[in-house]
Amino acid sequence: MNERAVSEAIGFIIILGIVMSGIGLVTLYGYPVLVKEQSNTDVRNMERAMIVIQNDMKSLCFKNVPYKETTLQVSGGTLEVINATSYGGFINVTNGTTQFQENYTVGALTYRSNRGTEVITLENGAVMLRQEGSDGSAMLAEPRWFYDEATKTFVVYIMNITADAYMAKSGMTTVRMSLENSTTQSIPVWPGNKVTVEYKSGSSGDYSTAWENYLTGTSVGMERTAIDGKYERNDVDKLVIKEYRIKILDI
Amino acid sequence: MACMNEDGQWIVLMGLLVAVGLFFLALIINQSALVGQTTAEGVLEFPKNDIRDLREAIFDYVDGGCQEAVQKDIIAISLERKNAVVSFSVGQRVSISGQQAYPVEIHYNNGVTEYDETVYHY
Repeated sequence: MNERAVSEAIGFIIILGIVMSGIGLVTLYGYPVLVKEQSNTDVRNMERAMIVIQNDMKSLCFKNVPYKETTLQVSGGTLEVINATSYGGFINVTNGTTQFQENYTVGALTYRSNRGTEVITLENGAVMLRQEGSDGSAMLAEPRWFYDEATKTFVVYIMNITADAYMAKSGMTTVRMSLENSTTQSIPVWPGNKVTVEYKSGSSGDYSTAWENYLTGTSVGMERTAIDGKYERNDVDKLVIKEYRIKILDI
Repeated sequence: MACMNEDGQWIVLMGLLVAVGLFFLALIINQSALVGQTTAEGVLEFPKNDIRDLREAIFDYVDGGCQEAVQKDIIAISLERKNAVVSFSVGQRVSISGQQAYPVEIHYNNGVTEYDETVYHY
């Protein structure tokens, strides 16, 4: 073969050039996508982990299990436990009269992403997601409030998270929790009165949109009142409030 | 360059194929992570045994002469222990294929499962 116009040096330079521009393109466009993808994966894993913790809490509350622990990987962010008394959020329930009107404080487990803007919160048995700096929020897993049509009973579950100290952690974490006590209240609702629920968000952020969508949805069927954050339901004979105190021993 | 032995190029090609294969496998694994969560929960939440226990307690109540205090107890215990709103009523005796039976209507609702049945207790 005639190889008079073939130069190894020029060939090498061309190949090197192609390789370098390839690496450059990947670094410029590929790396940010990779980082974003990593952050998305972390958030999605955390969503799943929160639902697992929620199921554990349900076991504590509804299935007579006294103690539960779950090991999970918190990556790309921090998981914190906020005690009910310092959380600031509450749920106020009334039977439509001034005789029964009570504030139930709820604590929270909150995950904040380092790289993204996502915040996931487990509050009063509901797993919710919001974007830091934006107004909206969505419920990923619902609590178990319900209205029984046949007996006209409205059942409200309050899950109160308590912790001895403020706790936060990243990396491998074991969430250990136990049920401290539970109380059941059964309150009559007189004809003409409406059960009213007020939600006030706490320090982990504003989740009023998520709660509004849940409370006005089909399973609870409440209606929004003129006052922000207040919801009511008529046609109730009996209001049942079950309050559970869950103690987070350690994370 | 022209005299180079190029017999080993298939190794590079196979490597590329394996890499592409792994990429698609990773995609599939990523997609399937959440499947199964709700299904498993749904099965666990169906309170078959709770309903059986309740039915048995109601039959005892019918056999015991339908005392109002017992009915209240059953309703209160269901709410306290099983987190379920329960109501039931016993009708007048009717004749079912030659036998006298009480029609018992049972309503059960724990927020996840709502259950209604009419059962005849001999």
